[in-house]
Amino acid sequence: MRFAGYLAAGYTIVLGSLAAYAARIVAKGRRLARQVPVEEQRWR
Amino acid sequence: MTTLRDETTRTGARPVPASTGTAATRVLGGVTLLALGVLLYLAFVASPAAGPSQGFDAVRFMYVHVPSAWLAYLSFAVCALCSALYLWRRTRSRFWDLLAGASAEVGTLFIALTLVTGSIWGRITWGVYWTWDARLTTTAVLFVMFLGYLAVRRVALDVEVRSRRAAVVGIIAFLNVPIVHNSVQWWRTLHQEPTVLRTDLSPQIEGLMLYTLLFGVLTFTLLYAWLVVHRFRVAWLEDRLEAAGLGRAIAERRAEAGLDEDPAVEGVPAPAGPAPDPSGPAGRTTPEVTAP
Amino acid sequence: MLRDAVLVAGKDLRIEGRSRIATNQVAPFAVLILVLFAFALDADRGLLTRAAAGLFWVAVLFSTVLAVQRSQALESSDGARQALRLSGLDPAGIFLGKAAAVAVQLLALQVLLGIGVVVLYGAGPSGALLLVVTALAATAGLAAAGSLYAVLAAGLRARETLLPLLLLPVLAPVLIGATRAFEAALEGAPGMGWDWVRLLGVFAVVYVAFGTLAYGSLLEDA
Repeated sequence: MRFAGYLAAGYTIVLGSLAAYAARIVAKGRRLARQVPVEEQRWR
Repeated sequence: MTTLRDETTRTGARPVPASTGTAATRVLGGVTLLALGVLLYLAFVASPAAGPSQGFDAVRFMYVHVPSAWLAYLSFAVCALCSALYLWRRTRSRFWDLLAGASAEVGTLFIALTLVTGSIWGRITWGVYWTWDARLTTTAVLFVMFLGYLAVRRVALDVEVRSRRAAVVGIIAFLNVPIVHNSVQWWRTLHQEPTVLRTDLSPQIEGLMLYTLLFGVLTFTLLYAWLVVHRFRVAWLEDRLEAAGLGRAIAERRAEAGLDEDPAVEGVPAPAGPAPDPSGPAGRTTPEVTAP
Repeated sequence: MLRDAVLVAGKDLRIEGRSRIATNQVAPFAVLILVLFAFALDADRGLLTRAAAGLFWVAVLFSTVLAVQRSQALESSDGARQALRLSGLDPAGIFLGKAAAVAVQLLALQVLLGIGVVVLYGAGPSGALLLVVTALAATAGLAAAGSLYAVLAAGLRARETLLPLLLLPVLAPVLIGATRAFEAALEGAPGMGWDWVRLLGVFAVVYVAFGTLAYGSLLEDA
């Protein structure tokens, strides 16, 4: 496969940053959800 | 208010683990992960490399580049729509404001990824990381405008005021896209021939490649939905916490003044303070209020 | 509405006439930018002459940021904003008036910068009609968009840093359009320039209309 290095770098950046962002949101959500009363969490 | 929270954390929160996930989002997340796997398979194994004029395997960039660009523009459209709904008095609610913010933040991430993948792809097919092409330039300007939008959302200000201003900025930034695009397009076309390399941007696509591209768009749409739902819920929690922090700060001032002995004030765990996370976008409360 | 606009514009210009902030600070700053460009690009006359139109408009853009910031700062002290809100003036009129005052100052500044470009960069003026119409259309757009964003950033502690970040990307089409129109005029080929003037006109109309509609709700909470 030609340009394998470029492709690997590009896909790693995309998937890596999406995963990092998702993980950050989830972690933050967990931390905050503990501090807010359940009846104010509209998705429950 | 504070006693209420104590009880719920002791009793209510135990059976359900605290998170922003629900059964529905877990299914959505699972499907998204599966789709991402299939997309990688399609992009790297199943789909063919394009002909020599398209730079061979470089075309595989298309399957993340085009979907993320498409999703970036979609999320800004969603942001503008929600902002308009927030500004309109009859539909004004925190819901639309927070949804607009969540969508814009996810969109900004997507647009950054679009620029990065586009640059790398451009390096392969055009030999340069950047050209002053109309679409590239418009995207870059849009990126900066939404960085500004996110900055407005982070400003220390009364929540209502901040939301209203952010909504106006979000709408203007979106309305400005066609003007920027037109001006940049004329700017380039009036002054020089469209770059020879420009034709490579839309390579002939057919069959499996087209299918892979469409599948990529679908996958990224699922991903967008998952991210926005979770980001919205985090924003919602921050919003609740900010409101609660305000009430608590007032209660504390009252207690300091010796107006009443409220044992629950001491019982509140430290992390639930009025400024829980200095790095969080909306974690700050207005200093004027928290100051004694 | 127009009567209110004239009142507000007159007030702002009278304040400027007495305080001379724009005259004594913004105008020298703009000329300083011209000199700095000459340092950056070497005093090679050919390059400066060719880039004159673009450098002129960059200087105007930066000055716009200062001018609209000053225009809002007028309202920030002594509860002037509350007084303005309670005055019973039409918010649309207030917006148009403040934008008009900024536009007048920017036009005066452009005359000064125009002289500076001719003297310092050796760019000969030609195509006078296109130059004037371009300047008018671009200034209308700059003043309208600038006044709208200035009230958005008003009252924030971070306004000095936030306003350029918000405003300059939005003004990018004005920079492109006005620069190309000026270049067309200076090259003696005004035909293409009028297309750009039309774009500048559209920009100005969009922002004047949007500002007229949105200013009321923004002023409420500023």
